[in-house]
Amino acid sequence: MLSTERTKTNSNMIITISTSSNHQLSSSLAETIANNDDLLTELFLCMPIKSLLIFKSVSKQWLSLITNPCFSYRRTPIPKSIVGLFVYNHLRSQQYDFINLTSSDLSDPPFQPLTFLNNSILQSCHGLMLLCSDNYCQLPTHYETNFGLGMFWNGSLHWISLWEGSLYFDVDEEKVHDLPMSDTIDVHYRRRFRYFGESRDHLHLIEIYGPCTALFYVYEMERHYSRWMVKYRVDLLAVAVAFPEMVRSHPLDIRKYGFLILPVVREEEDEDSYFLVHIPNKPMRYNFKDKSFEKVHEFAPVGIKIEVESTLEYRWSHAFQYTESLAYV
Amino acid sequence: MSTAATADASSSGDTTEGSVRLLTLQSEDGEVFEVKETIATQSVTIKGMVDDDCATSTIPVCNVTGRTLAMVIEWWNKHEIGAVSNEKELKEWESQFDTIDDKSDRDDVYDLLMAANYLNIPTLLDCCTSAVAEAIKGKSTDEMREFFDIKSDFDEKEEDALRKENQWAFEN
Repeated sequence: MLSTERTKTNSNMIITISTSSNHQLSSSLAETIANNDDLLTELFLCMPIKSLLIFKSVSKQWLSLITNPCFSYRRTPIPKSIVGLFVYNHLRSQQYDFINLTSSDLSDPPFQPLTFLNNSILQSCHGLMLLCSDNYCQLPTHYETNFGLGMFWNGSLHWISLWEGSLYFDVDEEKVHDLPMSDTIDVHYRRRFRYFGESRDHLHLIEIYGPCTALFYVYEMERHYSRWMVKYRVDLLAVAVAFPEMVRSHPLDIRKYGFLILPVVREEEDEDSYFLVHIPNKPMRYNFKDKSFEKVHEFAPVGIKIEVESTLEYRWSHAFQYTESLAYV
Repeated sequence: MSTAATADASSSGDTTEGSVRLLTLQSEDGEVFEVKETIATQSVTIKGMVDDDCATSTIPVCNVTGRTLAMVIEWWNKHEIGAVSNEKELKEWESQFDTIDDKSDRDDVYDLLMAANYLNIPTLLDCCTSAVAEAIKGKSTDEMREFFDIKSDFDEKEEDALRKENQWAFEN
């Protein structure tokens, strides 16, 4: 029997529940839930992607709910949060390493190893990865542009060039347009891109000139392609104080700091946005808003003294964002 | 029959206490509860009835037992604006729903989940689904079938194909 008491205090009811009552069989209740599509969908929305992939094989009803496109969209709305990076280690293993950005458990890649990758990742975008096999088709090169790394943003593919000829291809229009580049750089320096990439529907570019490479801007392209505007001001001097291994000692070296930039990551709240700075043996997370920084990961030492950037393992052009998705291709 | 100590559970419903309107809810097993309208309208279903002027007499809450309805009302009281002084206290109170290891906890959460779905109470639904999701997230296909008492309707070949398609998820 149930024993539910109710007393009145200040017009609010206090309900005291005794737990000594008899229970219904939980199996029949569970069965009821398992047959209720609405409730199951609510449950599935809380589940990790990996569990959902396993649960597809529970029953036909479950398979149909999980593979329903409406469900995929609700479970992973766009834009999605980046979970980690696949980075090509060109120094040591000649393989893709995984940098986990969501968990402190660094040795926990989503799947390992990437045995299905015979060759390389060409690009990743919104949870899809473009892989390259032995037989690939060469893009036409009518322009003096490096077609190696196209960035998809704003319905178009973008390529940047060290010389004239940065451009974008509007996928709907099927037309090629010029991509305006800033012309404010000092003529004494050769153009040098330090980062180019998309995050949360924003296109970013970083170019660093002058001897003090620890101070620079992150640029963002205006939606109507009028100009690259300054989005963030970065100051890595405090990072160099905390991690002096990124300071170069050679007196003839005009660039005083050794680091590479891995992705600029925009978050839902702009104040949470950050980028990864790769300094010797570790990637650092640098928050744009408060200029704070923290170590994300520690790689095993390379064994040689870092004097030039080529001895850092990972390049921005070989770092691919990984987001979880139920996209069904 | 349950011993719901309803002070003046009349069938007329729609009583007022001060300026606050009271609604009368009747559970599936006949227990009657009087609840302030401002609290009960945390249920989207009940709010719809109030807005449509359909809440003037006793509201039957089918599919929900008196025991569960009492828990739902406790939830409403805790989540009434100003009822709990801080967020931390509320989270602590909610944490009792997080662990559903033993059978009686599980039954409570299942009951609440069904009630939250039927009455459309988003906060309670979120809390219960998270608790169940937490309990089942690491489970295998067979464990899930056992947990929810489901019989597979795939033949062996279909099931193998599904496993193969999502092979990485089944590893480690």
